[in-house]
Amino acid sequence: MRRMLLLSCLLGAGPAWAGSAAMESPAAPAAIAAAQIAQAQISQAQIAQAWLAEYRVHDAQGDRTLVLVRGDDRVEYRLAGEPVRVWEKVADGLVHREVFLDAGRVVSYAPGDLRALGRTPGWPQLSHLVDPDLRAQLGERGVAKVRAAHDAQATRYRGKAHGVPVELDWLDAADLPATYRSGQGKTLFAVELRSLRQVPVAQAFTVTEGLREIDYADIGDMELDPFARQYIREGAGHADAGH
Amino acid sequence: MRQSRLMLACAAATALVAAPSFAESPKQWYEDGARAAHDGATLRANDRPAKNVILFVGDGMGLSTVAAARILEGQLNGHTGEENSLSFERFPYVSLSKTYSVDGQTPDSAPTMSAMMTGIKTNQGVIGVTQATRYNDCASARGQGVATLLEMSEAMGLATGVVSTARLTHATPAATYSHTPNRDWESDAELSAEAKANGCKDIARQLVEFPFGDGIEVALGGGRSYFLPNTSNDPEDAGSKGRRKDGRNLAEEWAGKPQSAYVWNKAQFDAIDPRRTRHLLGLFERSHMEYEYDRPTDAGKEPRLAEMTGKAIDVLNASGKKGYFLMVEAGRIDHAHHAGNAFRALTDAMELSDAVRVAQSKASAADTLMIVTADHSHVFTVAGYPDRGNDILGKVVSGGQVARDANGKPYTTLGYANGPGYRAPGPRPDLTAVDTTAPAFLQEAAVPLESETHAAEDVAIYARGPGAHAFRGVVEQNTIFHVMAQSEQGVSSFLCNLYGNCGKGKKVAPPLMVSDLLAGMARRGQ
Repeated sequence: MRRMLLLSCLLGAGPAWAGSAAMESPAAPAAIAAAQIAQAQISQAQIAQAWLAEYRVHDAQGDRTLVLVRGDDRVEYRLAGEPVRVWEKVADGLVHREVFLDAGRVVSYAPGDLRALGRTPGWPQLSHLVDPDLRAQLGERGVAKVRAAHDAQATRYRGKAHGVPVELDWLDAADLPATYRSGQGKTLFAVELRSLRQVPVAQAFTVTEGLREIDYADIGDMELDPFARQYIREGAGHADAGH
Repeated sequence: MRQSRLMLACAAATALVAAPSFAESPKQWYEDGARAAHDGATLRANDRPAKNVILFVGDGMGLSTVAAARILEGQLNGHTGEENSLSFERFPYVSLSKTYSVDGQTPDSAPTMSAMMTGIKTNQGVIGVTQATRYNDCASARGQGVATLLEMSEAMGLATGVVSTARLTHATPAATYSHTPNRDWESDAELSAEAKANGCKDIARQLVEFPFGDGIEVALGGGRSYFLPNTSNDPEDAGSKGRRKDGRNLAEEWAGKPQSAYVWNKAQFDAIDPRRTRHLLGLFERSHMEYEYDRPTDAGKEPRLAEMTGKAIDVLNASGKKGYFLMVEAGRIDHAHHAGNAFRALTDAMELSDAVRVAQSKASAADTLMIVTADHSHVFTVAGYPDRGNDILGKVVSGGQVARDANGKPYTTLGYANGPGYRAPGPRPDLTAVDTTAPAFLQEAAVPLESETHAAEDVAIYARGPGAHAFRGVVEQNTIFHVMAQSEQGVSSFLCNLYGNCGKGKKVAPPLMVSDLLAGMARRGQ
């Protein structure tokens, strides 16, 4: 998918935000252009890219900024006032890390910890912010250009999910939502894309080197550690009736 | 495979509600009770020295966990469950252990296991040091290390082993071989500046640099990243590296010694020939090993606790030494309880029972003292008035009817006083349509905490073999060390000569400090 996107960008059919060097010389002879395209493709392939999307989120708590960073096997959420949350696909399932930059700590949930806690969200929803399967429940209502994504095209979906009105504009190229709205009034939950770009994976994610990583499984045995004590007290209330 | 069998067995057990498995009758009850009483009355104490000592620790395995695991195992075998006994519940001697620490009413695993391994109680969070040590204060720990039974066993020429499903550097296994004022100093990356300045060694390093005898023969468990440098890729988890900052690869250092091997997956583990391996290190996960329920889906594949126990005994027996001390921990019972997940706590407790069964098949009751206990309990309850044979993981069914609370909602037999199972905000959830037997179900908790807590109630001690009869009544937890020490051959006569309690005059004041044991070994030219 990403390779196709890069190719379309390089051919001038897509937006510049995808980072195409070939876009700078559209009038070059075909042979030179082809060579440049090939060179650019090699460069892009060598430097793995991650999507970095900034959203405005509106919910009962008001408006906040959410930054989503997505690589092939890793997705990171940065929401003001909360730890950086990282989800990573590994051979056994998912690993979840909560990064507390101020405290210099990382709380790590192994796949077994997540299964034991009944916290096993699907990778599609984690990596797309909104579950892509939701689109199948809604009706397609044409396309729109998304200014925050350099006028990239988004497919518009409208309808109801679980009886609640939903509006979803889906950026096909990035495979991410441009806008999402569900509910209304006090129950309104809205997500709106503010900016989107690709950055090398090596620079995209929060650096955790030097932070002390502790397992969630160990938190309960760390009652003498002030950070763990606070985590035990304030992290409560995640369980739901089903699990 | 096992996972699906387990689920099928769960379904089968659910269908057996209120159907006693055996032909129970007044006559049968009477005769069974009379036989147990007669067996108890005619039991002869075995007061010979123990050639071998095996200590099993179910981390966090309180009495309610044992009872619920017993019922679950019985139900999975197609019975009503209550009448079932875990392997160690058939041991002839049982006592209760008071688990408090010097400065804590409800303890953590560090002082409790230290009590069992050194014979003295100590402070919360510290391992193998006296109560003069302050938590997290390296300088205060200087000279305060107390010799453990494993260290004495090695010094006396016995073979030794440590097996755990937790990290080998975690508090319980660490208390067999290390001394530290902070249980979390598991690799050098966790050491504070003060610790480094005052010469405290991390726990993983203490395992590999073990100074007694010819070193520990068997160490099997998790915690690989604590042994590998942060420049080394993990062999199982792509993209992950070790934690160590000192550049040392402790696993390679272990394997570099004569007749020594390091393994990190089940295939390598299975290939180990106990007759040709004198020192075996197995590190099967970067951190803790999998819960027994999740083990079959592990990418790298890892052995069961029962398999590790069997292999450990084989290596110890093949060592050619005059006996051995082995500690085996089911370390993840505790973690599952902390997560509020009774299913995994109970299935790991059942695995401990299987490990004990394997040990019984390889070590005779005539010459091996075997003890099963817990370091502390958890706030885990078995409640309500469920009918006989009611699914232990299910909702309370009383008199054939689903029991309901004051608001008409059903509730489960198992629950926690606190932990992640707290449902908030608002009233209790309606569990009518919820499958509470599902492996991911979190039992309800009364108090909201992200991690469920330990409990202060007593835990049981189950024992068999030489010296087991010394367990009587309710004892302080550190008594476990003394029963093992007075029973184990070599160690018992050594301590007897040292402290004069065999009529030879007292030479030193107890407890035996690490420095004294090292000095004694040096004088003997060891």
